[in-house]
Amino acid sequence: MVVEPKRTLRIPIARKITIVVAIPFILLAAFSIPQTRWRLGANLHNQLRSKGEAIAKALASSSEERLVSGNVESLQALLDGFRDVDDVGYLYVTDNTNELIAHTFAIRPPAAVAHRQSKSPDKEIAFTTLTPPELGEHLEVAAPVLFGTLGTVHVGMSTKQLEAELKSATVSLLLQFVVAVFIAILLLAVAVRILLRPLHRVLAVLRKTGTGDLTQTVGALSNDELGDLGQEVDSARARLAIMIARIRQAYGNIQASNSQVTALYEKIVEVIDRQAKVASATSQAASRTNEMATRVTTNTLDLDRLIGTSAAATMQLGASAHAVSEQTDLLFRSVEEAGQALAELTSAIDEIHRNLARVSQGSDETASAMSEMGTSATHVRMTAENTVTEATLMHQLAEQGLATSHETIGGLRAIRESSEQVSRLTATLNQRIEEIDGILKFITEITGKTNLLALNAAIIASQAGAQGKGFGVVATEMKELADRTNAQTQRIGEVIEGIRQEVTRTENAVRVSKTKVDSGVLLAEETGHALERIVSNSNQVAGRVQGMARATTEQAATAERVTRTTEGLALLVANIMRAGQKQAASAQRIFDMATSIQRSADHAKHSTREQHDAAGAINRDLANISEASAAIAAAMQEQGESSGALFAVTEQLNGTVENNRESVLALKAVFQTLAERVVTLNDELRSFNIRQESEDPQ
Amino acid sequence: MTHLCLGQSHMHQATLLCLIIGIFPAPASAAQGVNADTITLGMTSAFTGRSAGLGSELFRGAQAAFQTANQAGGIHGRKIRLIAYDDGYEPAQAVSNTLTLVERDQVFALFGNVGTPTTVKVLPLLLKYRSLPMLMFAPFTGAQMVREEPYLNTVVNVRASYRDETAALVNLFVDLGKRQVAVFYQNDSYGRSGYDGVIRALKPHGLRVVAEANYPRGAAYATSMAPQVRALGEASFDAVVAVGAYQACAAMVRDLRRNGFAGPIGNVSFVGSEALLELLTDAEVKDARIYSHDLYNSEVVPSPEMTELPLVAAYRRDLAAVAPEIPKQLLDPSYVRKPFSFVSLEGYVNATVLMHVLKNAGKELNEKSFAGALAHSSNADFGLGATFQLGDPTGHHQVWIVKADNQRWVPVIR
Repeated sequence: MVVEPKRTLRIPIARKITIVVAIPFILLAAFSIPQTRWRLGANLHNQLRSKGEAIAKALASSSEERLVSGNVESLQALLDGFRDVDDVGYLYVTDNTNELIAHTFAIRPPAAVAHRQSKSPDKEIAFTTLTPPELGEHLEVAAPVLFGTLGTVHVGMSTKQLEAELKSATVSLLLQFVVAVFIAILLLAVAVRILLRPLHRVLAVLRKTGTGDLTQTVGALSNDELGDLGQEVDSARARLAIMIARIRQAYGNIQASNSQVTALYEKIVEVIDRQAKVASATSQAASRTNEMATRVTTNTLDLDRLIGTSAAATMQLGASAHAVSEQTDLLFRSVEEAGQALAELTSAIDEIHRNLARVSQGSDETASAMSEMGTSATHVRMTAENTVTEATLMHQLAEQGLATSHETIGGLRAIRESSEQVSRLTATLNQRIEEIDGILKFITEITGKTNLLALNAAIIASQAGAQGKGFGVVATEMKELADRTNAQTQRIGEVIEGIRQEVTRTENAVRVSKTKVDSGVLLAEETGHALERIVSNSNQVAGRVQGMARATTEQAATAERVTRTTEGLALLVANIMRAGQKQAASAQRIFDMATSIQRSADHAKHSTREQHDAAGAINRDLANISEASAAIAAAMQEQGESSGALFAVTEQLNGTVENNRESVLALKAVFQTLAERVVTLNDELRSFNIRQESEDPQ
Repeated sequence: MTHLCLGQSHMHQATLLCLIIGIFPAPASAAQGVNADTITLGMTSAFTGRSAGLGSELFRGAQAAFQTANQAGGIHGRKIRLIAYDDGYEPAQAVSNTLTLVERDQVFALFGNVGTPTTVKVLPLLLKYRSLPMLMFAPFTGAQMVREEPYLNTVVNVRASYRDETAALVNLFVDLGKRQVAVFYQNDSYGRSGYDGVIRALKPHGLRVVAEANYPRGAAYATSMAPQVRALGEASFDAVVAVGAYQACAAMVRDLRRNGFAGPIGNVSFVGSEALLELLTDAEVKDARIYSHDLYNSEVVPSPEMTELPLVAAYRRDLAAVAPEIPKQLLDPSYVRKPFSFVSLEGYVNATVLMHVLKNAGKELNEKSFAGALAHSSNADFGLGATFQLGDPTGHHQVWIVKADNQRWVPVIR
C-alpha cells in the first residue's frame, strides 16, 4: 500500500534552466533586433539617398545639352543607362514647364507622376517619398538641371530592396539569435543532463524505494554533492531494508506463534467440545444413575416388603411345621399304642384317620403356604436379580462416569496445559512485539533524521539558487519519503499496538480460562470421588443383593423340598388313609402297616424337624436379607445424595465447560483479529522488496 | 568569293563573320580599312532575337549590292568587304561589337547599324575615333540623335527620321478624321524618339497624345499586351501609333483588335513590315479573325513591289542574282528569309548610296575625298524618284505609307 503523494505540475530542472537561459536571450533579441534593424534601416536609407542623389546629379549634369537640344531619345538613352542600376525604380525628366519628356516607367507613367501638379522646378536637390500604388514606396530624388532652368531629373530609388535587405537582415539576425539560443540551450541541457544524471538515478531509486522495492542501489554517482546524496540515500535505503528484514523476521516469528496458537486453540476447542460431550454424558449418566438409584431403592423397598411377607409366610410355615411335628409325635405315640392295643385300633384308626385328615389338611395348608412362599421366593429372587442387574448397570455407569470424569480431568488438564502454553506464547509474542516496537522507534528516528536531512538539503538548495532546484526536488522527494515512512511506521505501530492489545486480551482470556479449568478440574475430581464412592457402594449393594438372591434361591429350593416332602407325606397319609379304610384286611398287614407307619412317622418326625430347621434357616436368611436391604437402602440413600452432588457438580461442570467455550470463542475472535493484523502486517511487509528475500516474499 | 573565318567574338551572342570579298595586294592607304583592293566595312546588327529579321534582311540587301559591285570589279579596283557581328539589338553588345570592328578589324566605316538604343550607344565612339575618323553610314534608325550635333559630320543618314515617319502617320490619321491619337512605344530611346515625333506631329494640329503605353524592349509576340491595351483604354482613343519592334507591335495589334479596337494602327519602318504582317497573317489564320485591317506602316523606302522604280528593279534583279546567304554563325533559327522586303531594299539602297559616294571619292579614298564625294552626291538620282536626295545631314525626308491588304503591303497613294 503506497500512498501516492499529491503532485502539482511537474517541471523538470532542465526545462527550468532552459527557460532561465532563454529569457535573457529573448530579451536581448527583443531589444537588440529592433535597434539593429532601425540602425541598419537608417544606414541603408542614407545609402539609398546618397546613391539617388549621385545618380540624379549625374543625370542632371548630363541632361543639360540634351534638354537644350530637345533630343529626347538621347535623354531617354541616358535614363536607360541608369534604369538597371540597383535600387533605381524609375527615372524621369521634366522640362522647365514641368512636362514629362522622358521616363522609364513600364507601360505608362503612374498617375501620381503623369498628373503631377505643375510647380516651379526646385533649384536645389530635393528628396520626397512617393508611394505610387503601381510601384510601391520610392525615395524620389529631384535634381534640377541648371538650377531648374532646363528641367528636373527625377530618380525614384525603390525602397523595396532596402526593405527586403532589412527583412533578410532581421530574419538572419533572428535566426542567429535562435541558433545561438538553441546552441546555448542545447549545451546547457547536455550539461544539466550530465549533472542531473546522478540525480535522476537517485530519483529512480527513491521512486523504487517508495514503491517498496529496496533492491535498487544508487551506487557511486559523482564526486560532488550528488554523490554524497546518493550515498546517503543508499545508506538510508540499506538501513530501511535491514529494518524491514527485521520486521519481516519478527513477523515470521509472530506468524509461527500465531499458527501455534491457532493449533492450540483448535486443540482447546476440540478438547472443550469433547469435554462438553463428556460432561453431557456424565450428566446423563449421573441422571441415569440417579434414576437407577431411585429404582434400586424402590426395588429394595419392594424386596423388604416382600421379605416381610416372606417372613410372615415362613413364620406361618414354621408354625405349621411345628404343628405337623406335634401331630407326628402324637401319631408316633398312637402307633406305639396301637402296637400294644390293636383293639383300639379301629377307633385309633378312626382317630388316625381324623388326624390324618387333619394332617392332610395341614399338609394342604403347608403346601399352599409353601407354594405361596415359593412364589414369594421366586419374586424375591427375580427382584434380587433385577436389583443385581440394576446395581451392575449402576456400577457400570458409575464406572463409566468415573472414567469420564477421569477423562474430563485429563481434558481439563490438557486445557490447562494449553492455556499455560498460550500464556507462554503470548509472553513470547509480547516479547516480539517489544522487539518490533524497538525497530519502529528506530525507523521513526531514521525518518526524523531523513526529514532533517531533507530540510537541510532544501535549505542548501535554496541557497544554491537556480542550480539548486534539482536538489530542492530531491529534498522534497526525500522529505516525502520520510513522511511516508513515518506514516507507514505509525501504521505498523498501530498494528503492533492492536496485536499487543489482542495478546493482552488473549492472556486475560487464557487466565480466566485457566481459572475456570482449574475449578473444573477440582469439580471433576470431586465427581470422580463421588463416582468412586458410588462404585464401591454399588459393588456392596450388588454383593449384598447377590447374597440375598442366593439366600432366596436356597430358601426357594428348601421350600420346594419341603413342598415335595409335604406332598409325599400327603400321599403317604392318603395311602394310610386308604389302608385304614382297608382295615378289614389282615392284622399282619396292619401291624406291618403300623410298623411301616412307625417308620414313616419316624421319618415324618425327622422330616418335620428338618422342615423346622429349614424354616429357621429361611427366617435367618430373611433376616439377613432384610438387613442387607436396609443396608442397600442406606447405601442407596447415600448414593442418592452422591448422585445429587454429582449432578450438581456435573451441572457446574457443564457451566464451566460452557464458560470455557465462551472464553474460547472470545479467544477465537481475538485470534481472528490477531490473524487479520498479522495478514495486514504481512501485506505491509510484502510491499517491501528486499534483495535477501526477494525470491520468496512470504 | 571566299569566306574566311578570322575569329570568334568573345561576346556571348556575337559571332564573327569574316567576309572577304576580295584579297588583292594593294598599296598602303592613309585611311583605315582601305587598302589597294579592299574597303572593309563593319556591321553590328540584330541577327538574332526579336528583331532578327531586321539585321538579316538589311544584310542580304546590302550584300546583294556589294557583291554585284564586287563581281563587276569593285570600286576603283577595291572590293567591298563587310564584317558583320550580331548584337541582338542590345546596346552594350553593339558598343562591344563596334569596338571590335574599329580596334581589331580596323574597318573603314560602320555600316548597317540597326536600332536606336544600339546606335545611340555607339555614337559616342564616333567622337572617340574622330581622329581616324570613323564614319557611320546609313544607320537603320530614324532617331533624331544621329541627325544632330555633334554627330552631323560622322553619321551619314540615308533614311528619313522617325519624326518624318510619325508625322506622316499622324497626318494620315488626321486626314482620316482621327483626333485622339494614342501611342504605343518601346520603352527606350527608340520608342521615346517615336513618341516625341508623335507629339511634335500632333502639335500643329493642336492635338496631344491622349494615351500612352510602353513595353520593354525584347518582348515576344506571345507576350500578352493586355496591360498596355488596358492602359490605353483608360482614355478614349481612335488611332494608335506604334513605335516598336515587329513582335511586340504584332502582339499589340492582335490584342487591340481582340479588345475590339477597329481604328487605324500605324507602325514605323523599323518594325519590319513583312515580319509584322507575317505574324498577324499567321494569327489570323489560326484565330480565324482579321487583325490586319486598317493597319498602316510608314516606310523610308518604296515598296519592293514598285518595280517601275529603276533602283527597285535593280534590287530585285541583284538580290535574285546574288541570293546572299546569312552566315551560319549569325543565322537565327526563327528567321525566315523573305524574297523581297522593305528592309532588304533599304539595305540595297544604303549600299548603293555608299558605293556611289565611294566611287565619287575616287581612287584616293580618305576622309577628305569621302566628305567631298558626299557633298557632291546631293543631287544624285538613285532611281527612287526626284525627292530622294542625299546632302541633308538629316537624311532625306521621303516617307512612303503602305497599308496591309490581303496579306500584302500596298502603297497608299496620297
